[in-house]
Order: sequence, then C-alpha cells, then structure tokens
Amino acid sequence: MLIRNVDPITFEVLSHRLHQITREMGITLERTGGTVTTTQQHDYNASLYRPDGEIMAAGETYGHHVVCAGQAVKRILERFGKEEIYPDDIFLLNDPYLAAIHNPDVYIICPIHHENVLVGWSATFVHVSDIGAMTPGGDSPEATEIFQEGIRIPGIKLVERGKLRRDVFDTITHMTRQPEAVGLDLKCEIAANNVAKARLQAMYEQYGPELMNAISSEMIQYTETILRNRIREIPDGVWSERLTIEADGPCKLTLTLRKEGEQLVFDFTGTDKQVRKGINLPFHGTCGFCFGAVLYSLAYDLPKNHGVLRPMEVIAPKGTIVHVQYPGPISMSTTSSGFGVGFLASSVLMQMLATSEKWRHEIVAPQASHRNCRHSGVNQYGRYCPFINMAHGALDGNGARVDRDGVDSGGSYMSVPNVEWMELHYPLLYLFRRHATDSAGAGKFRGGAGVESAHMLHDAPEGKIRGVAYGVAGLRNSGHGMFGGNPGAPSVMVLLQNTNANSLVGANKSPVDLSEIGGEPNFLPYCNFELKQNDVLYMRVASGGGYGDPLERDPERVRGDVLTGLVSKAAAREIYGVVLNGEGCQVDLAATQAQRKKIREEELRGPQ
Amino acid sequence: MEYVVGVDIGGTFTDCVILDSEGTVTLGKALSTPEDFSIGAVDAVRDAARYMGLAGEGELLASTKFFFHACTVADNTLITRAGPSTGLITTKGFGDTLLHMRGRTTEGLTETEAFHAAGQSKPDPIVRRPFIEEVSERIDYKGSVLIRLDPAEAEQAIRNLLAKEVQSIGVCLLWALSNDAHEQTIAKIVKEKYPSVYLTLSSEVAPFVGEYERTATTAFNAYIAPKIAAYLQQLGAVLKEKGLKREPLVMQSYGGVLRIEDTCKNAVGTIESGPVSGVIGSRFIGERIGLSNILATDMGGTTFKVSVIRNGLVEKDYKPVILRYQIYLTKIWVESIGAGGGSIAWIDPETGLLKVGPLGAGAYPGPVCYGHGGSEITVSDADLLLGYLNENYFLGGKMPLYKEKALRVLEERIARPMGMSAVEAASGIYRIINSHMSDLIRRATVERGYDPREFTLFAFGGAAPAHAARYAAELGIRQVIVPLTASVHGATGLVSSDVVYAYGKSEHLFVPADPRRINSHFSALVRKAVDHLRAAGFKEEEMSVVRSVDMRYRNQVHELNVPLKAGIGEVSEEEMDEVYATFDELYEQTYGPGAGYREAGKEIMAFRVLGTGLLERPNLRRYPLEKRDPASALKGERWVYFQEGGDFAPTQIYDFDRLTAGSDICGPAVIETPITTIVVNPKDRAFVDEFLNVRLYLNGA
Amino acid sequence: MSHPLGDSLEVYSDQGANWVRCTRCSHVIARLEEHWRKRCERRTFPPTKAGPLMTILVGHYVLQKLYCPGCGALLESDMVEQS
Ligand SMILES: [Zn+2]
Repeated sequence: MLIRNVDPITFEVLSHRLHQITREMGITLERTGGTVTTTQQHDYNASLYRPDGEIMAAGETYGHHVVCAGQAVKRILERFGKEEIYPDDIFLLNDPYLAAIHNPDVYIICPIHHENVLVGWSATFVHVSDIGAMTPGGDSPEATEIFQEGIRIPGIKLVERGKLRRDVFDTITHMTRQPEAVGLDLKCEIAANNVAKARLQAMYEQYGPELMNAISSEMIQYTETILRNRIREIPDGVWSERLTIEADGPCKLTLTLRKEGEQLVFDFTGTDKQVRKGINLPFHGTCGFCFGAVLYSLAYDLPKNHGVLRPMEVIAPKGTIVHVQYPGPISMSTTSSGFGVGFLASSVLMQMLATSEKWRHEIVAPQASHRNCRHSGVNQYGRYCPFINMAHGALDGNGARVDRDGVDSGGSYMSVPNVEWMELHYPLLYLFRRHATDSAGAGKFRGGAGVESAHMLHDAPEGKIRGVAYGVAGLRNSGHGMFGGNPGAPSVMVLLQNTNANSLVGANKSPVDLSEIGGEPNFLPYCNFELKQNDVLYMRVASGGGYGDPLERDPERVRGDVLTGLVSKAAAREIYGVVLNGEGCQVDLAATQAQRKKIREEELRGPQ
Repeated sequence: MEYVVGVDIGGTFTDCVILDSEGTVTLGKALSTPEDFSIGAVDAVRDAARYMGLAGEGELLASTKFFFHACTVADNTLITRAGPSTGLITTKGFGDTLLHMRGRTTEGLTETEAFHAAGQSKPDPIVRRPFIEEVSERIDYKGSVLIRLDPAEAEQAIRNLLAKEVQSIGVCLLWALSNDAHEQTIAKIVKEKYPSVYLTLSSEVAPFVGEYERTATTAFNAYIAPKIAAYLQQLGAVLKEKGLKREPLVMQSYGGVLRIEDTCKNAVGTIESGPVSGVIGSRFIGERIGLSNILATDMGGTTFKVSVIRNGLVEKDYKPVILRYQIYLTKIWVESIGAGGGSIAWIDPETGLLKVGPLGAGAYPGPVCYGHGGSEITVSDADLLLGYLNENYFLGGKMPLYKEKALRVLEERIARPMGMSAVEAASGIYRIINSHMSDLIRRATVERGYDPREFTLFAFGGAAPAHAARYAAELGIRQVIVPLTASVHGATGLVSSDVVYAYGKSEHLFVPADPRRINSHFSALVRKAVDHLRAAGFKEEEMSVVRSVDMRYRNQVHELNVPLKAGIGEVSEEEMDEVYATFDELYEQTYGPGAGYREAGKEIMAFRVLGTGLLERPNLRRYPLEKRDPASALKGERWVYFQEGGDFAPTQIYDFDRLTAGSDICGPAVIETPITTIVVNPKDRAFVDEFLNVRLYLNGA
Repeated sequence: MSHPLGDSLEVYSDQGANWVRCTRCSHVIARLEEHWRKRCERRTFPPTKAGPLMTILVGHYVLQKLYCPGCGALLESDMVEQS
C-alpha cells in the first residue's frame, strides 16, 4: 500500500478535491480575464503550494509555470519572512531573475492561513496585456538586455490584510501602455487566488490541519513513489536531441537524458552561450519545461505535485541560453527557447519510452513549436490595443502515435479565437484559415495537419498596425518524425508586401490562392514589423511529425487524406507510393505495390 | 374529466404522467422503441390508462387537454451518427472551420483524459470534409458586402452536394449574423429548385458572433432536423388518429414547449430536452411547496446530473458543449458526471487505490447482484451489501437481487486485494461515489458563487434516494426531498411546462450603448416572440416576455446574462444604466468581491428575448396531514450499515405505500417504495408531506 | 535483457553482451555500446523529398534516411544540416 498515514478512501476524496480547487481557479481566470491568452488559450497557471513552496496541486495548464510559481513563493518567503506575511495578503512578482520566466507573465501569490498559521499558498500567472517593455505586449525582439523589457518587480504587496493597495495597483498599471486592460488582468488573478484561499480554508475547517497536512505530504510521496517505480521499470539508457533557433545566427540547444535506475538527469551541457536577444531562459524556466514534459508523458494520470520533480535532476551550465545570467534579455524566452527545451525534453523522453514495451504506446512524435505573431495599434473604434494576440498555435497539428495519426489542428488544450471575434475587435480581415495541404509529416501514421491563415488590414484608421514576430524561429521548428516518419512542414510567418489582395476583393474574387495574392514575400525573423495597406501576413503553424515508414501506410487512409485535401495526389504518389485512379481516387493496389517497391529501391540506390 | 398528459422518452423506458382535473397523478411506463419511438409513447399512455380503469389510450387521449412530449431523437441521432447524409456550405477559405474546432480537443473530457497527450482526439465530424463546399463571398463585421455571392456559383455548390446524395444542407457564411443576404440567396435557390432538401441557415438557428460555434450549431441542426421532423409528424398523426384533439407540445432544451411546426424549424433545440424536463418538474414541485432555491439531482444507472434553480429561475447555458462540440443553444444548465448505481468500483493496479467510476456496468448485464452475469462490483452492489437495498423488494419485488454473489465478488475483487473487510470495502465505495457527486454539486454552486446551504436538494432517479442525504450533508445542505414522482420526474416536468419561444441576436455595442440600437433589437425580437405566441393561441394577458442582454468587460470572452425589468416598452437610458450596474453586481456575486473592474469598460454582445405563453398549472392533489404512528407502516427490521457507528445495526424498514401524509420517522431507517429506496441516516428525520413527497431533515434540522 | 528500441529494432542479450538487431530480418546491427546509427545504410536526399512545403530548407538541410543493412527497412528519417 502506497498510502501510509491516511486512510486510502479519505486520500482519494481529498486529493480529488484539491485538484478541483485548481480547476476552479482556472475557470475564474478564464471567465474574468481580459486577454485572449487567458480567456481562450489557457495560457495561465493556477496551483496550490505547501507552506514552504513545494507544489501541492498543479492546475491543468502549462507545467513550466507550476515550478516557477513555486519558486516565486520561496522568494516571497525569503524577502518578507513569515512575520511580515499576514493573513489575506496578496503578493506580486514578475522578476525573471528570481522566479518568473519573462516580465509580462505576472505572478500573483497568496498566502493561506488557518487560525493564523500559514498552511499553504496559491499562485497564478497570466500574460498581462502590457508590461511597459520597449515592444507592446512584452516580447521585445530588439531588446539586448533586461532593462528594456519592462517593469520588473521582485515581490510587492498588492493586497495587505485584505485591502487592495490602490497606490501600488495604479503604479503598476500606469507603467503599462493600457492601464485598464492590465488592471483587468490583475483583477482576474486576485479573484482566482481569493477562490483558492476560501476553498482551502474551508477544507482546513472541515478536516482539520493535521489531516490536511498529512494528505498533502502523502500526495507528494505517493506521486514520487509511483513515478520512481515507473522510471525504474524502463531500461537504463542515454538519449539526446538538439535544436537550432535562428536569432541573428544559429543558437544551438542540446539535451542529453540519462536514465539511471529511478532517476532522470536532463543535461543541457553543450548548449550555446546566451545571446543578446531575448530568447534566453532562466534556469528555473528550464526546470519548469522539463517538469512539463515529464508531467504529460509519465505522470499525466497522477496527482500533479512536487513528487514529479523529485526523481528529476536538471543540469544547465550558467551563462548559456538555458541558464541566463543577469542582465541578459529574456522577453521572448517562453515561446522560443522555452518551447525549445520542452521539445528537447519531450523528444528524449519519447526515445526513452520507445525502449519500453509498456510505455511505447504513450509516444507522441515531438514537436518544436511554431512561429507566432502579436499586433498592436489603433482599432476600428479608434482605440489603442497593445496586445492583439493571433493565438494561432492552438491550431498546431499534433505528432503521430504508435498506432494512430496525430490530431489535425489539435494544438493541446488551447483554442484560437474565432475569425469573427478577431475581426469584431481588431482592424483585420482574414482571407483564409484552413488545414494546409501536405503540411502533416508523412508516416505509417501521419502527423496532424497544421493550419495556415492569412490576414490583412481592414478599417484600420492609421492605415497600419505594428507586429512582432516571435515563437521558435528556424527551419527545424514544427513536428519531428519518429522511426522513419517525416517531419511536419516548418512553421513560417511571411509578410507579403504590396499584394493584389485588395484588388482581388475589388474584382469580387476571394483571395485564397497565394499565387494570386502575390506580393514580395519576407520570411520574418525575430523582429518588429508594420502591416500596411495591401500587405498580407501569411502564417502557418506547426504540423505533426509522422511515425514509421510512409510506404507502410494503409493506402485507404492515404486515399481518405487525398479526398479531404490534407494530402495532394502528387504527395500520395511520391511520398506514400499510393497510386489513385480517376475521379473517385480509387486505390490501384497493384500499381501501389509496384510504386512502393520502386521508391524504396531507388532510395537505396541513392539519389540520382 | 379532462387530462394533462406528459410523455418522456428515455433511452430504456418511456415514462408517462397523467394528471386529472382533480390533481390525481397516475404513472405509466413502457419500453422505448428506437425503431419508431411513437410506438413506445402510445404504449406508455395505454399503461397509464389501464391503471386508471379506462377502456384504452383512445378514451384517455380523446379527453386530453394538453399532450406534452420530450424525446431523445436528437440525442440518439447524434450519438449513433444516424442522421441523413448532410452537406455544408461555407465562405471560401473557411471550409475547415467545423473540423479544426478552434483547436480545442479537451472540451468535455475528464482531467486525466485531458492530460493524456497520446490519447487526444477530435470527435467524428458531423459533416465530413468532402461534404463541405466553399463559395466565393465575403461580408465584414459591419455587415458590408466585400465580395458578392454569385448565384451561379452557389447553385453549383448545391449541385455538387446533391451529386453526393445529401438530403440536408446547412449554410454558414462569415458574418451572416450581420447581413444574411448571401445565405438568403442560397435559400432562394434551394427553395425554388430543390425544395425536397432540408435547409438550415446559420442566420436563423444561431445569429451570434463566432463562426465555429455557429457552424457547429448549423451542422447539428441540418443533421437532426429531417429525423426530428419525420418522427414528430409521425407521432402527431398517430395521436390524432387515436383521438387527440390538440397538437402535442414538444419540450425544448431551454425548458419550454413548442408546437411541432416550430420545433421542426429549430430541431437543434430538442437536444438534451429530456433531462431538462426533470428540472422543470423540480421547479413545479418547488412552486407547490413554496421552495425557490433547489438543487435538482438525478442519479440513475450511469450518470449523475445537477441543475440549479435560484429564486424560482432555472439557470441557463448559452454555449453548451454537446458531444465535445461547442454550440449556440439556449439550454437549461445541467452538469453531469459518470456516476450512478452502475458505476464500477476498481483498484488501480499501480497504486492500489480504490476508485469508483467513471465507467459503468450498463443496463445489461449490470451490477453483480442483478445475477445477469455481471462481474464488476458496482455502487448498487455496495448499496445492497450495506443493507440499503432489499434483495427481495427491488423495484417492488419485480427483480430479485443476489446478495451472496455480490459479496463473493466484492471480497475477491476489492476487499481482499485492498486488505480490507467486505464492509470496509462496500462503505468505501459508497463514500467515494458520494464524494464524487458532492464535488459536482460543489462545482454547480460554490464555483458559481452560490452557497449550497441556501438550497433544498431534490433527489430523483432510481439510485438517488439511497445516497442523497450523504452527498447533501457533505455540503451542509439541510433538507432533501424525494418527490412522489421521483421515478418519472421528466414526465412530471412536462405537464408543468409553458410554451416558450427563445430568440436572440448578436450585436457588439460599447457601453453606454445607443438606446436606438438596443430598442431596435428588442422590438424586433419581442415582435417575433409575440407573433408566435399569438399564432399559438395566447392572448396578451397570458404572455410574459423577458428581455436580457449578454454583457462583459471589454475584450473578455465570457458573458453574463443580465435581465431587464419586466415589460416590453421602449428601454430608456436610465433603465440601461440600471442594467449596467446590475452587471457589476452579478459579476462580483459570481466571481467574488473585488473581482469587478469598471475601469475596463463594458460591452454588450447579444440581445435575448424569452416569450412565454402561460399554460394553466395542473393541480397536485393534497392529502390531509395526519399525526399517525408510522409503526403501522413497519415492514420489519434488518441489519443496515451506517458510518456513524462504523458497523451494522438493526434498522427499521418502512413501506412507503402504507405511510400517510404527516408520517414522521427518525433515523436510522429505510423507506422502501415500489420504485426506489430512501435511506434515513441516524441523525436525520423523514417526513411525508401533504403531496406525499418524502422530506429528509438532515443532522437535526 | 531484451527490450524494443523504436519501431523495428530491439536490444537483446547474448554471450554476455547486449546487441541491437532488426526485428524484421533479425540482422544484428551493432553492440548496444556502439552507435547503431553509424552501422546503418545511410542515404541523403533533398528536403523536398519529405513534401512540397520543405522548399525553404533547400540549401540548409538534407533529408537523411537510415535503413537496416539486412533488409532495407526504413529506421529513421531526419533533416540534418547540409555539410
Ligand atoms: Zn532488417
């Protein structure tokens, strides 16, 4: 029996309830938040911590922030000391050199007392609308050091003994480009923490501190024990992966996973030195992204708490991209090297799972994320918006699995706003938003197709809006194949200048064909740019990598993909070796067999 | 004698409730007949007629004033994907909208499912991609046409779909809610040239911003409308032939009934209308006994459902998730989890922890104790072993239960591997399932800013009365009511329904909004509702019209629905100021004090009108309260387990049929009715009220 | 010791050593301590062999495929930097 000090029924009941609290915090953030990242993308954290900052219950979102918010609790404890932390205080911290990952992800941290004794903490973050950095919205491609990346708060009381410190609140919001929007962001975090406090206090009231403290430590013990058992069952080994991010030149990230007994060592030795571009990641962020990768693969069904961290060790040499030293810039870290680390960790874990008969069914071909864009400018109602998040990452195609295709436009638990929602609020017109043909990595099981979209200005009073291009820049972003599967199409962001889009519309034609839209294409690196009249921004998110040899894919599945437009006839023939005949695309089995044989023979003979 | 008839078709049984003019209730039951549901409907009416001593269903139907009906045709069609071949027409460039689903894959999943990366999936598309046609056209957010729709291209798209033998076509074009000209162009072609095709326009079924949800609603409607129409027309004809004089009225998911013709225009409105009837039934009984804050809980074989009635109003949901799709549908808010009498208890092989559900044993073979070959221990098995259920009086003795078998399997599969006694295992199962249910109620109340202690809990569905006192007490609820009609609660709801037309329309307006825009929307929607009510035969004084707006702080995504004061007159700026202030209040009530942030600015996202044609409420017969010693209803004594003593104790068993209004019973006790079993815990008290509802007062309340 | 190593390879023990072999043809590719990839048949192709959307990789990356030396089963496909 894994549970020692609490009866197993009570354990089951209460651990379930603790998780419900984090869920309720998340719902509060979504319902009351003011930005798309919070309300639709689930890009937030809502977790509970033990009095010392250990994770008690992690919410259902990004794992990396769970670790960093725990770090934030520890920093608050150090800065204020227990004697200055009162019941009903609420703290704010966003310093990436202490605990946060980049400045716009603002942590709100709330001590929870029962009869004047500190019994735990709740913490949330949301990506606020603006943080006063050199670029609206916070991701600043031109920043070369942290000082250009917005306000940086090492810990401050936002609420003292239940009273909102209006002076502090206003001081913070006034350092941003849109105080009202940021005010709403902070308010939703306060509301979520208040919910957590009320619920946890009610549990302490009902069950008493002794049982509650025992439950939370048992939960951690429980998760740790099971996770260690699972790791032990898998053969020892060493696996590695690398990724190049293009930021004024190639920046290489390297990870080696050593699995020894019941320990997982993530070693980033060999990763390039930090750069003067905001893709550097604080060390706690690196740990957080590794935690997330373990959480979603080996621990997805366990109580999500500090027990997940215990069998893990992360080695990241100081001064590298994955362990930045002051005052290196970090503003784009989450979606660049952060997702990069997430990819590396996931990739090595998948390779590890592939050595276990029991765990290989949990393989999902890993994905090195996508490009992303945010606009800012004056909308059709004459109002300045610093944070127009295109949020298209929600439409990434997912990686293939051992026995199933990846999910088309599956994009994890995020969702993208409707085109109509975007057009209602911002001066934009979408030309298309669709699955990109031939984007999915081919394989015996193919990756999920990613989505491509294009938009231009519409009713923009200034005739232009700003854009910032971030995400994982590089030709090897997107899905990676496994065991013979092909990679997914790279994610790109292309500014097409001086296009025919408006004249096509004028001529009553839908601008859905890139060759008709025309214009001069600029593949955008990390940069600020302007979207002007007659410009079109084309974006393609990530697509899933394939699993296994495409020549072994069931020809009927290939036919289905051709009929739905996900695979072109040419690709069916050249990549899958499937010959389809006539209008109905019937599979010619004999011709297919011959074609497949020919392809493999030609491959082995080598390129002509 | 005149009758009011309610017929509720469920997955297994079709229930019937008859009320005569004196308020006497008669129940009827028959097996559902999925090949033609109208057969089961008539069977259930015949069953009731027989109890009433009538010659047959004809005599009953000939004297029926109102015939109310709820059907599961929409749900069945969707779940089994039994709809006709359906096509969809969209704006060029956006044909994948229904398939990408805005990326979401976890909506409607449990926590573990949501976290399970390798297990992700999307639902089977309601309309597959080859059946989706795109047409060149574009309207912007203001409703201005940017690219004109060429009728020839539209006709080609229709023909392409017809070539694939579609019988039903949905049309959802971008911004059709602001300007429906292009959708109407397509409608005109279909009506003139292909009149046999069912047509659904997004501007009619869901005129709200958001193309994914609107497309999904349109596709759902297109997919189920032909089935609904065929079924209801068949039912109408059969009942007419049997002597029914007035047209049947059909339950809608927002909790009102409509005529068949109006139902067919908006078939999507019948989704999950069955469970909704139960909520309306709870409201009705609440009205009769003077309760306006009710938690309606329904525990059947596989699912547990909760709805909230606050101040006599049912809570609504405007964007429900149906089969993992989010759609625009005004629906009574019902939250559910996989928990019921059939929920399976199991030991996690890796952790050794005892779990219950979410998987269920199903109706057949069902729990071990049914003796139909079931091999998984379920909640019902635990209930039997704890002494709550009577092995010789299940369903009034119609079905024997096998206790030894259940005990043997429990010991083998649960108790011994857990190192527990059989009692510990059974009571553990009972506790865990109760905690799952109280968690769901907590989600339905506490998470939405309501204090469960201010509510009375209604327990219906076969398994609820044996559990309700426990899952209610966990939340500090003090009174549980087991209604007399607990087993046919949906049908009870039907007979107490009103005719309701619900209309809405999106327009995005910054606050303070121009009163002319507000009035123009409201007057159009009110006119529509009033016209329909009049056509359905209602006079002005029988109508009630409620107007409301969906509001939020600027740029948020989730709205709160804020009602206006009663009336249909011109709305003044002052009145709207009050509405805006009400929003701030509602917001803090929902999300906690201090959560509101007026500085952010507000916006209106949609206008809604609910037009109700008030039907006469049926009477319920009152029985005189008598202070009689309940001992006369005593059936005997058996050993029943209660957690307070940690052991079995001799407990008195009462026969509900012999209890009279006014009977008072102190726990511990068990009350057996022919359809369910009510457990009265040690500190609780049971009281039979004047309508023969059993009220449980918890913890000495 | 015996366990899978991806889709078409496995590790097995024999005569006190651990070996990597092909599950399709039982060809022994390498000792576990060696880099088994170095012992595979290796071919490189233009990136567009993996699909028409790979054009932007041309000149920077090549598609490298590894095959079982015994039976020619495809073991791995990867974009590697063009040397
Ligand atoms: Zn081989």
